[in-house]
Amino acid sequence: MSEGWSSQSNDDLDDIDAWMARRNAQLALQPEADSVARNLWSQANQSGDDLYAGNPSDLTAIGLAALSGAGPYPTTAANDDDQDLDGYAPYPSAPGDGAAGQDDTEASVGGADNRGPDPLTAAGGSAPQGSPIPGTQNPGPDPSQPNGANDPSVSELVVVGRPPDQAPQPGFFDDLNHNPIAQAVGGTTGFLIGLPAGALRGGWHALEGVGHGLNFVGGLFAPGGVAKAWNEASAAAHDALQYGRSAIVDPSRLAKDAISEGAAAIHSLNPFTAPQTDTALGEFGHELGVGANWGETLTNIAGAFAAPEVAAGVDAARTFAATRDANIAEMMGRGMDEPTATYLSKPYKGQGEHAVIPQAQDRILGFKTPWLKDVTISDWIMNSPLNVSKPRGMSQGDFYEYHFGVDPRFYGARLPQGLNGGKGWSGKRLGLERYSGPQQVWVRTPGIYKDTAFGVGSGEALGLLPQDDAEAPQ
Amino acid sequence: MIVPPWAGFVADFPDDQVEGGGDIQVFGGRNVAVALGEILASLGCSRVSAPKAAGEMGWEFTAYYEDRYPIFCRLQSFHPVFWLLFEDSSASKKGAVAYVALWRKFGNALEQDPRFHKILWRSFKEGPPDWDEVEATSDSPERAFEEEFPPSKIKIDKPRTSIWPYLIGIWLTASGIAAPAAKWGSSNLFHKFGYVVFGIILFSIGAFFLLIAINQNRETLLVPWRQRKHPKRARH
Repeated sequence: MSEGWSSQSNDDLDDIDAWMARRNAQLALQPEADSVARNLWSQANQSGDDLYAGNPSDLTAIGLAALSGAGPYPTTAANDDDQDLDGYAPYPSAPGDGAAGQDDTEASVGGADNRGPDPLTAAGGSAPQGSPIPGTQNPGPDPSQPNGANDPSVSELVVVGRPPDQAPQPGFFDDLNHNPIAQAVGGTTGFLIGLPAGALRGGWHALEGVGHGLNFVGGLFAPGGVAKAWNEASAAAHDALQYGRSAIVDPSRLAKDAISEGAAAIHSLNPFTAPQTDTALGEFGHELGVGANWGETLTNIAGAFAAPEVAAGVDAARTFAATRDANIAEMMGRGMDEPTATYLSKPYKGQGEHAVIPQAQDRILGFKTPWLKDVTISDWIMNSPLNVSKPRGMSQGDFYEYHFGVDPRFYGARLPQGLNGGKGWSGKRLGLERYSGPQQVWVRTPGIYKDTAFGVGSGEALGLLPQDDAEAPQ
Repeated sequence: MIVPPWAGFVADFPDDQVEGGGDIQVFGGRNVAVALGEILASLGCSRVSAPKAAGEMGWEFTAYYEDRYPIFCRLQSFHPVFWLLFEDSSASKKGAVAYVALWRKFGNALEQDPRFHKILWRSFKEGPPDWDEVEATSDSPERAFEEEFPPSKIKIDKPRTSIWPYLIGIWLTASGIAAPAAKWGSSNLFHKFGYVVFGIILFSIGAFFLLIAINQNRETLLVPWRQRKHPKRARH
């Protein structure tokens, strides 16, 4: 046991008087050593240097070594087998260091940043984790020794930097963070939560694209703008030509690039090809990004769905007059008299369908919301394109059919006197059917949102397509 | 059966539809809507609103039964036949009970009123009766309102709680918090700012849906809390 009580280097362990004198001197220096060590600790915290003092006595040891002039802070390593600490050279030896004997140690000092490999492993020792004392060294004196004689001295401690691979203290949250089920839940949650943010990002990217386009166009009107724009266009054309030449020389490049681009897209969207982290929080953060990519992609897909509808609406509005006779004939073919068919083939000029908040102000998106009745909503909001669905290019009859399809409270409408034998228009009589489920939601969505989806999908701007009555066929 | 909210009837009122140029300028039925509002007021409804034009869907107005349960009415004119939608807007169980009571009173009052004939009630799914069906009905029906709809036959339609506002609300608020938090460490300030804006938008929309969701269950969530806080006020 006493061998483990290695004293300061080069001292004779049998010389009790000398040992006692040195211990007394150390005890006298303890307050000052503690103070110096605290300063060093504070500096290390600020600088990020590794400094380990797991026990109060470690702090004293650090201070004593520093006071001895050994350096900023000491690091003492055991060397039970007399081996030199290879790779530990940056740590200068403590005073008096020399012939290290069986129980001798080398007191080394130096910054943690410039030290070599972990002194513990370099010394061939195996320290228990969290302990400053390597396994090869005697763990220390029996604390029950009288007069503090078994207090550790500098040379008896191994004061090293915090082991970088030190495992965190096990606990409930740590276990949960590493739990595979929690990782799966964290990843799924992150994915779902990322979707809406990605959808907004898609809109933002579309606006950015429009902004770049406007910048380019605006730049044409600035002094020298035309020349600059020409240079940019020339550079782009040059790059394209270069790529084209290289593709002619090596046609397989096209396929390779396409595969590369496709692989990159899949990588950014596939939650399973990306490297997995080993914590639930890591999975959450990773899948959040993948979810955002999906959100943006889905927004673009919605734009692709909206595109044909928007195009058909614009086309119907443009060709409304030209197709009106055909519409009248089609309605008469369904059993209507000519005056009624002519009336119903006129352009629809009504209020439209209040799709988001009905005029009754008792629900939003179909969810009953009684307190909404007490809220004053101005007419310009209630009747705005944000709230009203009024598809482009529809005749009176087309709109009634559309309204019957999307609104479960709409069954028919009155016609002017004398039309249809004095009866009105009835969806039930015509045998029409209503939309249901997601299709109803999509069809009922006001045009401005579809235009936006189309704009996002195609890089167009919000609201570039006209929504007011000016576009309605006359 | 639950309360049939659609009614079709013939009303002895002049046609107030305004036409011009072969088109309808003002849809008819306002005069009948006003008369129905007066009936509701006589039955204990308050805050009966003036009829509001709803285009081809006719005229709409609201009233509050017992001063707290909103009722929505929409009247469409096919003069002399009219369609009436008489709906509960309260979204609460107590409101549904009050609605059934008011509907019974209203049905009886309409039957007793000499200005209204050939009254037919239909379920929400069936929709309003066809004009020909109304006109073909006898002026003196075989069964009175109370005989056709005895109290034992009419059940209270408890408001159904939809899970969707909860899901959408939680989803968007969580996204509104997590998306900017996840990007907070980004060194690109513009990027960071963008995600903060996204977060605010998503959080706001999500909070709105949560408000709608909680409103669905305000009797179970909010009213007990209010009773604990203000027992006197909650009783009214």
